[in-house]
Amino acid sequence: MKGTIRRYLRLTGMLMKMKISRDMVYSLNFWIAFVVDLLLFLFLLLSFTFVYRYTDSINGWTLPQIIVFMGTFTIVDGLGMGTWFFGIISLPEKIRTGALDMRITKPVDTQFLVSAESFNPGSFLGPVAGAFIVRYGMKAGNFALTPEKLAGYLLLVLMMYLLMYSLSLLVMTCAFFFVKIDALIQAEESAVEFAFRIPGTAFRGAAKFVFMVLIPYGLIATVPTQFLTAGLNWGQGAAVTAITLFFVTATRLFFRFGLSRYSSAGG
Amino acid sequence: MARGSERTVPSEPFLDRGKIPPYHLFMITLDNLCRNYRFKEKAPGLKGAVRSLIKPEWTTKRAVADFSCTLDQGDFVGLIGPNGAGKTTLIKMMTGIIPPSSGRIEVCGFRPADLKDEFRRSYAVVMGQKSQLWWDLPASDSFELNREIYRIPADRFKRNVDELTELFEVGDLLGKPIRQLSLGQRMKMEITASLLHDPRVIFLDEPTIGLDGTAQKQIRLFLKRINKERNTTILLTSHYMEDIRSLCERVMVINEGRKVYEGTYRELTDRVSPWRIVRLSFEAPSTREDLMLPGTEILEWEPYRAALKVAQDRVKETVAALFADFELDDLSIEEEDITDVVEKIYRRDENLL
Amino acid sequence: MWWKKYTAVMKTSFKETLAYRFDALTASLFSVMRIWLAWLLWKAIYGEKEIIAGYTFPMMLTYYLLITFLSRLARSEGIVWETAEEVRSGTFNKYIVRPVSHFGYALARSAGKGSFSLLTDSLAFLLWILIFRNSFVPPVGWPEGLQAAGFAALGLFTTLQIHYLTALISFKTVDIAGPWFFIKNFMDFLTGAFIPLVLLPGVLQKAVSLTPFYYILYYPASLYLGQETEKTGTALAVILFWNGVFWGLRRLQYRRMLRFYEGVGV
Repeated sequence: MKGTIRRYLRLTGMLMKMKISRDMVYSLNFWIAFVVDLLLFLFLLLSFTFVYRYTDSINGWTLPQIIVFMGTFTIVDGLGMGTWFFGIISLPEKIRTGALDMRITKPVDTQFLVSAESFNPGSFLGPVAGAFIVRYGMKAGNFALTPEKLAGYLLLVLMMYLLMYSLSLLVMTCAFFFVKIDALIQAEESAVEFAFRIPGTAFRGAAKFVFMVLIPYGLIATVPTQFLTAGLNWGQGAAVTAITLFFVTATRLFFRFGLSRYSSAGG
Repeated sequence: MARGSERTVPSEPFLDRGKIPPYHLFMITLDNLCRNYRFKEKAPGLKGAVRSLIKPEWTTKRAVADFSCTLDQGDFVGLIGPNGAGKTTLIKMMTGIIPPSSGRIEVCGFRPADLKDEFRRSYAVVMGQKSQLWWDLPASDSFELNREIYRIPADRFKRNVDELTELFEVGDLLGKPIRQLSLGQRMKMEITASLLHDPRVIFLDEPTIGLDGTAQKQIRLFLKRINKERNTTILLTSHYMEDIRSLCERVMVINEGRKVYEGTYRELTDRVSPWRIVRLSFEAPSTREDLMLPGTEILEWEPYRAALKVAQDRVKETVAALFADFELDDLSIEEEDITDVVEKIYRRDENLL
Repeated sequence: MWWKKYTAVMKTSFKETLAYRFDALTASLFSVMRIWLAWLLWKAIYGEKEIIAGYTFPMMLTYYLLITFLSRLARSEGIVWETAEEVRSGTFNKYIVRPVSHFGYALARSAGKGSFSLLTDSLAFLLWILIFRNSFVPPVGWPEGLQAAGFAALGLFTTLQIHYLTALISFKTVDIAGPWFFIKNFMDFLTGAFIPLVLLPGVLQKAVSLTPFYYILYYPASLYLGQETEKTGTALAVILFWNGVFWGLRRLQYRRMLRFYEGVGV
């Protein structure tokens, strides 16, 4: 077990090294994605600031909490973009063209290989910027930051990172069964957009069930923010853990099932 | 009977599902292997789209049907057949990329579809159309990645890289990005990358496609050496008959998913084309009538030149008779063009077995 | 007739979208889903409040409905990606050697695609209005509704000109995605796609009202809702002024950029 973990960490390092040396060839892309993301954040922040001129809270959340919320999303999203995003987003293409074939023949977990082969080093600036944003929000709202809070927050961020990864892979894995999944991908993209723009506290009733449990994109930035700025009770913590575990496991099983149904295009 | 088919093992107790023996008798065993594809039949247009959504009509296509064979350690076997005959599908099943629909398959003692890491470390696959090299990076980087993926010990890795690139004469290209290499150089790198972990079995799917004559020849020589020196089992598919003729001691012909022949290349050409062409030139003018010998057919005739089609088993007598009856200037015996032979195999529906 | 070739392009573009009707239909449904999320968010923001900056909750929802509908009609975004691809692969040659104006082609193509979106979107949006009729308000009156439609049409043309200018950047850089998303983020905010511009502080609002962005989505929507904004005369002057600027800039840039163009694949 320990040997396996070390081996996969080494492999991860190797893949990251290769991607960095590759990206040096296209150094402009490295920065522009970051600048674009930051700009989007700025405009969203402005939008919320203007909205808060007319209200004090959105279902209990103040403006500083919204700032922490957006910072948290920037962290989770940046981590994902830097690691698994570009590998996963091209999975349907790899399935359609049969490019997955060579990857299956490698003596490494195929899900790992597909997820870890397209690092995007430029995106790691996202989490750095996100950390500053969170810190700014914490100061603006006078929230106390204890070491325990920080540790719990980081743990939750890690969990939400895994959740977002699983949800995205779950959608892309459908490409094993259907020729075209453009509509599903579009739905997924919209869901991510909402996860960024709408604080989870806004969800009520049926919408809450849909976005917190069924397709829990609503949890991603909300849960760590809630923990850091207001606190979670044990029940909420357990529910979030259960949902995350469920989707991580379900995705893993679904991917394996998809792989066993892979019919490899061409020839 | 051909060598390979004598060895085809019927369903013996150990071949039962789940009872894989601790060590294998053969490097590769296929036993009544089938692979079906199911797809929806869709009428064109919006109406068709709606109908197939409500009541889909499924059609099953057999890509591989009841395919049985065995490969021993060190065998070099060629797999030929027309496009879409099922060659690549067979290789995909043997490498675990796709599972079979029915039948038994065992490679290096493993069931491929289980995709055990240990299994995937024991073979290599090169597909002419699919690359495993990183386009923007030099080959050495992709080699390093394979070292990590296959857990190749450092000394063995270095030895293999040195040896293989030297054999291919591509050592000086290791630091060049793949996209700057020629097609032939790229294929050599591709093959090198897949052999770094000393596989016991190599599957090669059209490794020489689109390459120039020199590169093809180099790759052939290389494969021959690997097969001899390392006693590696090799299964090769190729469009170029020359690849098969010069490399494979055994040939399997697949058509519409079924094995229609297994045996040596020589026997195959004899079987499909039991004729030789005897070309003659004469010192003195000949007559057409004099050339009408039993078991021969006149293809071309001029007073000083002629071409005869002779049954293979009558070649000896015919040649002797020709020497006795004519003043010959020259005589040559030719085979039919190989590509024609293969076309013939593909066109024939009957089983050659 | 000189315009026949452009109507042909328009028809072809329409048919092309028709071939991907399933995609078009789902895209329409997802844009309606966006309105649902606006519904959720604004429900939370309104809370107990009746009115925010002159907007009641149904007005706010109708605002998002209108701007989503309008931005879906502006299908000229495709021209950015297409031009980039054609310049990269060298197929842009066909516009240079043929007697067509590339801008005319872009206009016809966007119109063709847009008219298909109009069909599927109308369906999806009608469905939404039927279900959420309590959150929908009709135009304040006929004159306002017509004025809004007129400004919306002008807005679509303005958007096309901006997209076209962006597309021209692809002559200078291979990767258009970066500059494009940069511009798109600006536009989303300044046109009022994030929040109605009335929520902006007065000075900022005044400043935006001098730019063309103000009149693309926000102005037609507020005319429809009967909200006090710029006078129509001023509005017309500003938007026409900017279109004139873009027109000139576009012609100038097109000629300049052709000099960068190598005519071969990179």
